[in-house]
Amino acid sequence: MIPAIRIQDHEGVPVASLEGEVDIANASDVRDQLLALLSHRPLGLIVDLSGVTFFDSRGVHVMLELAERMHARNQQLRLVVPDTNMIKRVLQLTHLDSIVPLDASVEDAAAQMELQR
Amino acid sequence: MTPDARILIVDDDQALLQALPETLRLRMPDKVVDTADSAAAALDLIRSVDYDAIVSDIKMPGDDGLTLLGRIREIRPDTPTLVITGHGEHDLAIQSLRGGAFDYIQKPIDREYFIASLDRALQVRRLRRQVVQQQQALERHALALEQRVEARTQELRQTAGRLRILAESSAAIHSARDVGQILQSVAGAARRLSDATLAVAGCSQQRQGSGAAASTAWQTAATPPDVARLLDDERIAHLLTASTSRAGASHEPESAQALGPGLSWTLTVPMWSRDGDFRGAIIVGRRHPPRWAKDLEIQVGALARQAAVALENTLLYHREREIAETLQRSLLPGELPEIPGLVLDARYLPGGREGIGGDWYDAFPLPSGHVGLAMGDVAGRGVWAAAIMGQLRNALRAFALEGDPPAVVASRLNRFTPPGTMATLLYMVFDPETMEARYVNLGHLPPLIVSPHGASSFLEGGGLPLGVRRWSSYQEQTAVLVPGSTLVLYTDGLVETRGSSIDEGLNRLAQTAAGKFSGSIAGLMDHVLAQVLRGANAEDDVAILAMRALPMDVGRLAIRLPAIPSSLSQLRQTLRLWLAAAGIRDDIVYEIVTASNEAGANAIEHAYGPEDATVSFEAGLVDDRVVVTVRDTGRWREPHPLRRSFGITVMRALMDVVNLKSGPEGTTVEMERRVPTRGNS
Repeated sequence: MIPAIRIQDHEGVPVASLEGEVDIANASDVRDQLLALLSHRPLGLIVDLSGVTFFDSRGVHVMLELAERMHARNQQLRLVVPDTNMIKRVLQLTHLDSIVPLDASVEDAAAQMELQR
Repeated sequence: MTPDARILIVDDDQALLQALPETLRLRMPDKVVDTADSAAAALDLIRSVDYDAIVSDIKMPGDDGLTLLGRIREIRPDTPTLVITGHGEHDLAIQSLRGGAFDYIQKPIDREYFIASLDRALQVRRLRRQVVQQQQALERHALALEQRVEARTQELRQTAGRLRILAESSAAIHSARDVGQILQSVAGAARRLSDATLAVAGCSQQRQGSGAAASTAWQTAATPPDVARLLDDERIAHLLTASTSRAGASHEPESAQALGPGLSWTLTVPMWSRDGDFRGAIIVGRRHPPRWAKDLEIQVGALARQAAVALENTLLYHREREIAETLQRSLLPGELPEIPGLVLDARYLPGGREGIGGDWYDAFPLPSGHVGLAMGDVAGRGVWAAAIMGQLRNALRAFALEGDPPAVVASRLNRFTPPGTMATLLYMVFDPETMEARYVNLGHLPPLIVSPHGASSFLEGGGLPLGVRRWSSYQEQTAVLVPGSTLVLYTDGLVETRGSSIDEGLNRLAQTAAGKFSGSIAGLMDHVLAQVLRGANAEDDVAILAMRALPMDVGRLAIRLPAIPSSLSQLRQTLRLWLAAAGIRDDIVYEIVTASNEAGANAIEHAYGPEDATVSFEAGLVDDRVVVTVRDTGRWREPHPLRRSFGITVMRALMDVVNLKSGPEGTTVEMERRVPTRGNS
C-alpha cells in the first residue's frame, strides 16, 4: 500500500506530507515520488512525517539517498517529526538526525529554511 | 399343329369304327387314332391316355354315350367330346350338349362337317392346353417370385436387425462417459453385428508426435467376458498395432489363429478420427466365414467411425475438463493465510457430472489488520467459467487491498465484471479485534454462523448478482460474532442436491453444522460435506470456506507468512495485537514490532529461490521477557558494503539480545527483550 503523499507549496519550497506506514513494501514508491518533486530544482524540500505511524530502515535509506542527492545540488532537506511520534526513535538510532535536520512542525522547518537562505 | 394329337373313337358299329379312322388318316394324316367298341373299353383307354379329342356314338349297348360323356367330364374335364347321334334325335343331341359335349354329329355323317368340327375341337383343346401351360408357368414364376421375396425379406430382416444393433450401440457409445465404456459398447456391438465368437475393441493411447519406434499403449475391451479373460494382452496389442498401417477392413488367416483356438475368420477394422488420426481398431473372430462378409465390413466400418468420433469427443471432453480443473485449482488459494486468533479452512470438490463450474473462494489479510473473505459462483461451466472466476478473484483482491469497505469493493468489481457474465459473490471484511463482520451479499447463499454453544443462524441481506446492472450500489450489512463462533461460506452445490429444495438443503446444513460445533473446524467441514451430500458424489461443484474466531493465546504467537513485502504489515498488526493483549506498554510494543519488522524485512529480501518461500514468526512471553524468533529459508547475505545495514543496527538497539544463525537450510534470528508490564513498571 502506497502511503498517501500530499504536496503543498510553502513559498517556493514543496512540502510533502506522508501518511500511513513506510516499509519494504512501499519505500521505493516513496523515493520515486519525492525525487519527482526535485525536478523543478527547488531551493529545498520539507518532508512531513507527522502522519507516519511506522517507518523502518528502508525508509531511512530513502531519506539518506534523497539527502545525498540534494546536498550535491546545494538543496536543503528537512524532516518534520514531532517528539511524540514514535518513529523518531528509528531516525535517531540510525543517526539520520545527524545528517538531516529534524523539526517538530512544518512551520519550524520552513522558518529554519528561511534562516539558511 | 401338334403332330402327335391323339383321338379316340368309340362306337359299337364296327363298320363305322373302321370308316372314321380311315377318313381321319386321309384328312388328318398326322393324328394318331385309337378306337374302342364300348364305353367300358373307352374309359380304360381314357384313364391312361390324355386324348386331345374323343368321338363317341350315343347309342351303345352297356353304358351309352351320355353316360360315357359324364364319366369323361369327370376324368378328363378339358377333353372335348363329340357325340354321334341318329337322324332326327334332336332331344339326345341337346341332352348331350347340356351334358358337356363339344358338338354333335348327326347320322348320316357329313364328313366335311365332322372333320371341321373335330378340327375345331382339337384347336380348342390345344388352346386350353396352352392356357393351362401358361397358367402353370405363371404359377411357377409366382412361386419363384414368392421365394425370392421371402429370401429378400429374410435378408432385410437381418440387415434391419444389424442396423438396430448399430443404432442401439450408437446411443450407448455416445452416452458413454469414458473410454472404457465406449470400448465395451463397441466390442459388444461388433460381436452381435457379426455373430462372432469374440470381439475386441482397442483404443490407442499413443500421444501425437512420438516416433515410430515408440510403443503404443492400448486400452482394450473384449467380449464375451469369459473368453476375454483368456486373451493374451500382448497378442491383442500386436494385432491392434498391425492394423494401424491399414486404411480399411482386412482379413488375415494368421490373426484368426493368433486371436484364439478354433477361429478361422477375423475382420479387423481400424478406427480413424475425422482428422485422420489412428484411434484404435475393432477385431472380430468367427469359427466360420460369414456369407455376408461384404455387408459386415460396411457395418463394422460404420461402427468404427461412430466409435472414433465418440472416442475423440471423450478425449476432448476429458482434456477440457482436465484443463478446467487444473485452472480452477491453480486459481484457488493453495494455502490459506495464517492469521492469529483465526482458524481458516476450505474445501473444494469438483462436480461429478457436469464439468467444472466457476465456484471460487479467497481469504486474505488486509493492510488494516482485518481479514477479507470471499465466496463466489460464476454462472457457466468449463474453462471459460474457471477463467472468469480467476479474473474476479484477482480483481477483488486488488480492490480489497486498497482498503475500501465491502460495498465499494463490490461496486468496483461489478463494473469490472466482463459483459455477459453473471456471478454471485459474498464478500466480508472481518475485524478480529472487534469481532465485527461487514459484508455484502450479491445473490449468494447466506453465510452460516454456528455459535460456540451450537446455535446456528444465517446472515441475512442481499442484492443483485455481479453483472446484472452496470451501475449497481450495494447494501452493506454488519454482524458481530461471539468469540468462538464459526462462520461458514459455501456455494450452491452444498445445498442444492437433486430431489430436495434449497430450503431443505439450508436446514440440513444448519442442523448438521450445529451438531458438530464443538470439534475442530476441519472436522466440522468434513462432517458437513459427508452428511449434507449424504456420501453421494455431488453433481455440482462444492466450495466451502469456514472461519472460527478464537480469543488470542496470550502465552504464544506463531504465524507463517509468504516471503513477500506486503506480509510485513500483517506481521506488525498481529504482533501489536498480541503484545497489547499480553499487557505490554505501548512504547515497548513499538520497539519490539520495529525490531521484528527489520528481521522480517531481511528474511524477505533473502528469500530468493523457491517462489513459495515463507517466513515464520514466533513470539512467546517467558517470565518478564518477550522472545521473538524469525526463520526464513534463504541464505543470509552480508549487507552491501556501501549500504550500512540499518536493519541490524535497529534490531540491536531495540532488543536486549539479538542472535543470528545462518545455515544451509535458512537463517534464524532470535531476539529477546525484557518487558516491564503495565502492572509492575
